[in-house]
Amino acid sequence: MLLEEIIEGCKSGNRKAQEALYRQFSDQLFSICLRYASNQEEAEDILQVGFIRIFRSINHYKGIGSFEGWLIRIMINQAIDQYRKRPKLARIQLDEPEVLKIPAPIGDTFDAESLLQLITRLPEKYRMVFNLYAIEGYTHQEIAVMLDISEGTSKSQLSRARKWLKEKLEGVATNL
Amino acid sequence: MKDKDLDRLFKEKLHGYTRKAPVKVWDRIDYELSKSAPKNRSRRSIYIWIGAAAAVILVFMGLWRRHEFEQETLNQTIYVQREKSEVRKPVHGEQSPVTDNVSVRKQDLALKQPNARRVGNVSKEIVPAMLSTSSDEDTRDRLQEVVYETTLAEVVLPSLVDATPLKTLPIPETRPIVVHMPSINNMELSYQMAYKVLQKNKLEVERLTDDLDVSTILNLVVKGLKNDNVQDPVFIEDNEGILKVDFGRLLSNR
Repeated sequence: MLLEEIIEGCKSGNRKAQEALYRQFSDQLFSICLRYASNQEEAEDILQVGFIRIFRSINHYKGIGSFEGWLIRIMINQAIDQYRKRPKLARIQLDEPEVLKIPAPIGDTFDAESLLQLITRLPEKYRMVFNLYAIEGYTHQEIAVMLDISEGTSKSQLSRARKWLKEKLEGVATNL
Repeated sequence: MKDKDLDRLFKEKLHGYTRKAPVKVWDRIDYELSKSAPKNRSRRSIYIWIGAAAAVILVFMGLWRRHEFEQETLNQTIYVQREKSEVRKPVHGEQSPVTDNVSVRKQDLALKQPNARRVGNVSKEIVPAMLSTSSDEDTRDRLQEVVYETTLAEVVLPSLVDATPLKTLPIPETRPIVVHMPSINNMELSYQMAYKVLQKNKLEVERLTDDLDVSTILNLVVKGLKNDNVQDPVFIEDNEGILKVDFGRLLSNR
């Protein structure tokens, strides 16, 4: 089934088309959900609600721009929504270095799974800003609007996220 | 490691990275979609049924209202026709003398009952009604509308007005109203409040055979109205020459 046919089928509520769309994009979108979530279950929730949101709003997709990009935007928006709805519990930051089971870098670099694990361990607010800025490519101005924070906060949280990630990566490298 | 290098490392590695999505997520999505889809359908069908039911109810209400309107109208109009050629003064003791030969034509099925009969030269016929009301407000509105007609009647028919002080009739809402007057001898009167009539009342008026004129007839109607009975009265003369006007019998005979 061609993507255009799948999209049209989804617009008319065809369940087979919806499943085909899920099969085609779920893996890619799930990896994005994992980057924004604290754990696997949370990522699954984002994926589930995000796909329902996609199916319900697919009639708004007018074929302008990349369909894949449209899907990713919806999924990121869903991740942000769930981040906002999540109760903000005071996190106790432990100075004790956590034991990260990060695979050793192959050659002079890390594989994707290791980096994903690192991002997942980032404090939530750092993780959101780092994902949006470093990986998705949003500006601090855009992130400030999306997360309802100031640009200064966005910049400082990015800085702290980078520092945290560098420490972990360097720690893994030096322990080899 | 510089910031840019760190960002590039994560971007390059994770941008195109995919992880197999659990099958159970699709199962949950499928469940959610099936849960909402029939709900929408049933809700739509409920709206359709509600709409259809409302339409049927409205049609029946319309038909019923029309039926009520016709019933009210049927009971609310009196034609009073004066035939001056037959007018003569009553002579005491004479059977059924009248000042005017008054023809009160009434359209009411009850008048076809055996006990509804001609009394003297008062005749009752059936005519269609012209006016009806559905509420007190409607009654007041209609009364306002017919003020002009009433005034016209007072001017054109001074003798009638003299005999029948329309303005002083007891209850304004129940005052007979001139709604149509095609000629000086043909006046269409209407009275209100028919929809309120539930009680049956019997009214006796004595010695009317001597003064059975338009005024008397109108007053009889008004008295009937005062008793919340606007059914067309039946005029019955007993053996002693007393004219009885029975409003209740009409209802009981229906």
